[in-house]
Parts: sequence; C-alpha cells; structure tokens
Amino acid sequence: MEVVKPLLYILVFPGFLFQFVFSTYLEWMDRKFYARMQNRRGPLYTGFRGVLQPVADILKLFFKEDIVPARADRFMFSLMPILGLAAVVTAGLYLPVWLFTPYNSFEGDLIVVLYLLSLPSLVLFLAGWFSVSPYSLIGATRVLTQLFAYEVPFFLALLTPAVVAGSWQIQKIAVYPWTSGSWWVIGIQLLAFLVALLTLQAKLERVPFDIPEAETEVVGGPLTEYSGKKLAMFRIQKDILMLVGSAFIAALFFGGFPGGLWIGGLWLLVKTSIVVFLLSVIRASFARIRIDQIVTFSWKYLAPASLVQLLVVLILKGNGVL
Amino acid sequence: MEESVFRLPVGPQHPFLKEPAKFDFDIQGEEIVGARMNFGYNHRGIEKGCEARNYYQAMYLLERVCGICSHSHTTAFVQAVEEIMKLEVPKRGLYLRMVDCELERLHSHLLWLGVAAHEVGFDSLFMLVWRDRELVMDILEKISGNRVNYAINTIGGVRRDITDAQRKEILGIMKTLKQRLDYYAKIGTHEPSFVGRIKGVGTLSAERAAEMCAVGPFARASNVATDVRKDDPYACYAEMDFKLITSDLCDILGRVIVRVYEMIESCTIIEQLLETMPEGEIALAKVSRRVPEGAAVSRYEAPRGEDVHFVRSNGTDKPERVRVRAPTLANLEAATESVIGAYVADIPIAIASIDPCFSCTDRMAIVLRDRKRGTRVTTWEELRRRGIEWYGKNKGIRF
Amino acid sequence: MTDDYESRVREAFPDSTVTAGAKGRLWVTLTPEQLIPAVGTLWERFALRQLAVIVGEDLRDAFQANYVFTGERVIILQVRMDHDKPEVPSLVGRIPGAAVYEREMKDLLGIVPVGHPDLRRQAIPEDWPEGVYPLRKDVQIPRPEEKAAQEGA
Repeated sequence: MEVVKPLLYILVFPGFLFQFVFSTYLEWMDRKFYARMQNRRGPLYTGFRGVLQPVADILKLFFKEDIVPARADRFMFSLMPILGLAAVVTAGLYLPVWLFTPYNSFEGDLIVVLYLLSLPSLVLFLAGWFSVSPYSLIGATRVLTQLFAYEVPFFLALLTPAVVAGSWQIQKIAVYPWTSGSWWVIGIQLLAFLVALLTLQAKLERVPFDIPEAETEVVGGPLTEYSGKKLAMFRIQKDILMLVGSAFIAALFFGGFPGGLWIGGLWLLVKTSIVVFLLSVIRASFARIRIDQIVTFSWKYLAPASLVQLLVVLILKGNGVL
Repeated sequence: MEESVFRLPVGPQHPFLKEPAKFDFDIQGEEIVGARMNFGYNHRGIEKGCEARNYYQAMYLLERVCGICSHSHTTAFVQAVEEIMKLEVPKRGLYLRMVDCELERLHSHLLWLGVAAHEVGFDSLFMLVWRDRELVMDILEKISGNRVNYAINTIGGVRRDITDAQRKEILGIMKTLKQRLDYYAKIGTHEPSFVGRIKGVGTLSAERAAEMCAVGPFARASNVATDVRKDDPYACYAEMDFKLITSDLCDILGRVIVRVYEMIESCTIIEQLLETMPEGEIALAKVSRRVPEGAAVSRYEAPRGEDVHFVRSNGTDKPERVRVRAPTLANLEAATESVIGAYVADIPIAIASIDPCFSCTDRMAIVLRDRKRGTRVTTWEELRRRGIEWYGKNKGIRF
Repeated sequence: MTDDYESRVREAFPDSTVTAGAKGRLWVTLTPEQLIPAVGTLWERFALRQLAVIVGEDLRDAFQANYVFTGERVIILQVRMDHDKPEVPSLVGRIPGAAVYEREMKDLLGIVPVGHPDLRRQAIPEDWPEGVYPLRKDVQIPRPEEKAAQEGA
C-alpha cells in the first residue's frame, strides 16, 4: 500500500487523471459561459450537453499528423510540451485537497507553486524560440514581455492572504478564515483578489491578454508550428493551468474545505467554478489589448493596487486587528 | 537596411486575411517601419469572360465578382448599359434596386464591424453583430430568394417585386435594427479596450487620402466628403433625405464611427423608400438584346466605396470591353501605407479597416498552356498520383 | 446641351475633341504627349485629382487608355496609341494612386506606362509567358480542361 499510495497520488488523485477530468470539465464550463454571453449555444452534442467536447477535441488532436518543422530543434521542440505539462501537473499536486495532507503540504509550498506556475510561460517562450518561424519568434518575445508585466502583480496579490494568515503554507492560508474565526478577512482582500484574477487571465493568455497567441496577428504565436500530439499536450497544459490557477486563487481568497471530504470537495468545485466564471466574463467583455498597453496597465494600475492592498493588510496586522 | 529589421511576411494565407493577398512588413521590435503589398492571387478572368458573353450573361457573371457586394457590381454594370441604350427605367424598379442596395450596405457594414471586432480579439461584439446581420440576410432572402447573389437586377429594371406584407415586415425589422445599431455605436465608441486598440491607429490624413485616390467610408473617415450618392446621384438618390457621414479622426475609430452611423442612415433610406414606393411596372417589358455602339462610365456607391464600371459596346449583343474598378483597389495602397509606424498587433485591424475584398480586386485570367513547359493544368489524376508517391516514399503508406 | 462647365473644358483643351455624354460626362481625346499637361490642367483649372480608374482598351487597330477623373463632374481623358507602340507617360509622379491601375494595364494589355517606378507583375502570375497580354483581342484563352479521374489510373 505504501508503494501504491504515492503512485495513486501522482497519477490519479489529485494527480494527472483528476486534473485532466476536472480541467476538461472547467473548459467546457468556460466555453458554455462564453457562448451564452455571446448569444450562442456552445458545445452541444458530445456527452451530456457537450460536456465531453473538450476531451473529444484533445483526442482528435492526438490522432492528427504530428509535424516537426525541418529547421526546428527537434529535441527541444518535442521536449517543451512534456516539460510544460509536467510543471503544471506538479503544481496541481499542491492543491489543498483534504485527503492527502501529509504528502503535499509543507511550510513554503506557496513559493514552489508560484515557481511552477511561472514555468509554462518560459516553456512557451522556448517552444516558440525553437520553432524558428517568424510568427513563433514574435509570439515568443511577446510571451516574455507579458511575463514581466503580470508576474510581479500576481506574486504581490497572492502574498496578501499569506501575510494575513502569517504562513507560507497553502493549507494553513486556506483554513485560516475558519480556524481564526474571522470570516471577514475574505472581504478585505477584494482588491488583491481582483488583481490576482486579472493576472491569472494574463498568465492563461486569454482575451484581453491573449497577446502572445493572438490568432489574427501572429497566427498562433509560439504554438504556430505545433500540431498533433504536441499541440494536444499544450491544450491539456492550458486547461490544467486554468484549473490549478483558479483553484489556488479560490483556496487562498475564499478559504478552504470546511466540513470534511464531501462538503469540502463540493466547495472546491463551487469556488473554482466561480473563479472560472469570472474569468469567462472578463474574456467576453473586452477586446485584446496591445503589448505596450498591457505593460502600462500592469505597472500603472495592477502593481500599485496590489501594493496598496498589502499595505492595508500590514497596517491591520500591525495594529493587532488581524 | 539595418541589422535589427526583421521581415514579417503576411499572406497570401493568414488567419486575418479571409482572401489571398501578400504583405511584407519590415519590423523593428514591435514597430512597423516599412510595408509592401502584392495581390493578384485570385484572378478569374471575369473581364475577359464578359467579352465572350452577351449582356445578360455578363451581368450574372459580374454578380459573381464579389460575394458581399454582388448587387453593387450588377447595378453599376446595368446602369452603364442602360445609359448606352438610353433606357428609362420605371421608377418602382429603381426604388427596388435601391432597397437592395441599402440592404446590401447594411449587411456589408455589419459584416465588417464583426470582422473588425474579431481582428482585435473582441469576439463578443463579433458574435452579436453577426447575429443581427442575419436579420438583414433574412430580408434579402425573402425578397430576392438568395442570401448572397440576389440576381435581382436586369437590364431595364428588376426581376422581382415585393409584396405589401414584405414591405411591412422590413419596416418592422428596420426599427429593431436601428435600436441595435445605436447600442453598437455606443460599444464601438466607448468600450475602453476596443477604443484603446483603434484610436489613433492607422492614421491617414485628408490630403494623403485625396492623393492616394481613396474612396468610400475609408476616405470619409479621413474627412474627405465623397459619396457618389450625393456627388453624382444615380437611381433616385437625389430624392432621398440622408446625411453624408464623415469623421475628422482619420483613424480606425473614425472608420468605425462612419460605418456605424452610415448604417443608421441606410435604415432611414430604406424606410423612406418603402414608405414612398410608387406603384407601377418594375421593369421595361421589352429590351433589345443588341446594344448600340457607345461607351459609358457608371459610378455606384458600393458599401466599400465607389465602384466604377466602364462599358464599351460595339453594336452586337456582346460587350467590347468591361472594366470593373472595385473600391478595394483604390484603397489598398493607402491602407498599406497607413500601417507604417504602427505596431505588429495593429496590422490586421489596419488592413481590415478598409474592408478589403480581394475577390473584387482580382478578376483576371488563370488557366492557359505554358509554351515552355507544356501543360500547366494539373489534373486531379496527377495530383492523386503525386500524393500517393509522396506518402509511399516518406511515410511508407501504400494505397 | 452646352453649359458653362463644358465650354470651360473646351477652352482648356483647344486641340482635342470634347464630347458630352450622358449625365454630364465629358470625353476628351488626347495624344500620349498631351496627357501629363492635361492632367495638370484638370488639377489647376478644375480641381480634379481623383483618378477613379484607368481603362485600357484594345481597339484592334489602336490602343486606347481612358483616364476617368471624378469630382464635380466626370471627365474622361482618352489617350490613343499606335498599335505598334503602346506607350503612355506614367502619372505616378503626380498621382500616386495611379500606380495600381497602370500596373494592371501593363499586365493585361501590354500598354507600358513609361516612367513607372515599379512594374512587377500584379494581375498575372509570375510564370505567365512573356509577351502574352490576355485582354488583347487576338489572345484566345482556351477553356480549362476538366477531366474526371479514371479509377485505377
């Protein structure tokens, strides 16, 4: 049993299988929300109301021809999708789920997760760089530029709940509103939550921050040359990144799993769905902004906003309110 | 050229281009420092084809110049022929022609607004606008039987009348459409991320627009008051009461404003037309198939700008020369120039802001025998053989 | 119907025949040498600079290029050329927008705009045979062959 348990943990729950299933479900939900906001129906036919459509899309990609450009670095080109997927799945292992507390929680895991969540962007940059095509190169440089724009506000925003809870352990931050009995801390972190939401959108490269992949401008950015299995892996990576990102934001800002396995699990589903819903709303209501606009936007508004939030929390903390 | 200048080829196939054209942009970082354009990938030999057909056949061929402004091309052509033949078209026929013409302008501008929103990643607006475009398409289908190539014109009038019930229905839809358009006017000019992308981008000064012979909404957005419906009224436009919309912003925002308000004007024109529609014949009963010798230039305000047709007849039932000048041809060069100085991200929207239609622009010739290399016509058979060979050699697949 | 505008045009082009067409269109015939000064006259005296289109024509015994100018009125400059020497001066220096029409005219009819800065092919493919101008009357374009694929071929 002791051998099987870690394997189960990595491969089934909360490892790859759980993440894959949950993330495709979230993608379906996102697509449904997005479609309804645009007066469309969204996926309809595969499975119950099209819930299996994302899986079908990914499966289809797996059966497509896999082309590696002649001038690309074959090894790096093939390595990148695996590396990116590994990074996000590992980050997902630190999701504060109730069952496996001893395995996945230690003081400072928040920093590990933040690091692991930065990796996909670097992977995307390298993927574009090693594809050697004009669109991939432009996309790759945009990935990096955008990374510099959103990463700092993202870190600052996620620092706020950590400061409130006085811990670097996701588990402890998540249970803080319950253990301390002060529910209202969720309310005072609203600004940080908004910043985290917007920067997560930028991390996921979705409208209005889908600058690196902007289909109408640079075809597919770093992913232009990818096809078949490798593209499918990037798709899974993106889905899981959305799951992990929204689940973390939900855990850090909404508090974690009260009331045991079932209610806690349900609460995880509900709060993650709420974050995804908010992400879809953002996606539906804006146009894609330009690369110079996102840099200005994050350094002019997002970074100061998260600093202000941090200051408020520190002052409250210093005065013994928290 | 400097070391750091990078050449970005866009096209002939690219997601933002719905039709083939080739652009080469010189890029420094994200800024564009040079632009060149080439087109002509889609030549179909329509002008030559017209010379081998009689006037009626040529009219239907010209309808296929473009899938969006098909009515524009036939009307321009038919007007030229009627001018040579000195025909007096019945008034109801002219009115019906104008109804179609304005409906076409509506659907074309709605299409453009959706595409423009899509180019800057604003897919929600794109979806909503295209939903409302269906209203217009439905009307067109009801009154002409077709969604795209209406085939409503004929020399000396139109081919289909509209009933009173249809008239009332269209008036009802126009009311809905006007409300929706007001809403889009608000979004298009106030939504911050959308306006942030289009304001001050792709600027073209009024002087330069005049120099480059720009036409249509593109020129009007650069504050050049040019509109054939006002300058050189054809059909019954002189009797209509509508405003000529211009904007002094000279950028893409200006082009959005001009097009959106023009749509509202189009709704007004349609309402006027339907309310004052005269009774009577819709077409001349008898029109000779032979056209006397002569030449005519016909101007027509197509949705994208001025459409010019030149027709020379030689006394037979076939035209001697037909020349189609689609508005895109007049605007492309200016649009390419307006991109210089903008960012890479602005390329799609800047080019799309003229509502380019390359199928209108390219019309000539494709298949012939090459004297040097024998036949150039690749048969299906040969393609299939090559495909089988390739897969056999590279993938080890045997068919 | 002779109006003021028309008489002014007649006065401006004393060496040419000016014909009034329907809708007040004025057709002015010119020789190739007269073209550039004529365009200047149109701009200076009539403020006409909007070149709508250049229509090249093969009249069998000669070539003709029609320059359609639009503005207050439509004036069409008709330039006749010898069949052996189809050349017109290029207007690009004066009207940049003329470039595309001149290129197309050169591709399709072989009328050479002398002094045009960029005469790459535009309307016809790169591998089109040299010296074949599809819109000329003596060029017959054969119908494309359609062959159904034979099974097992």
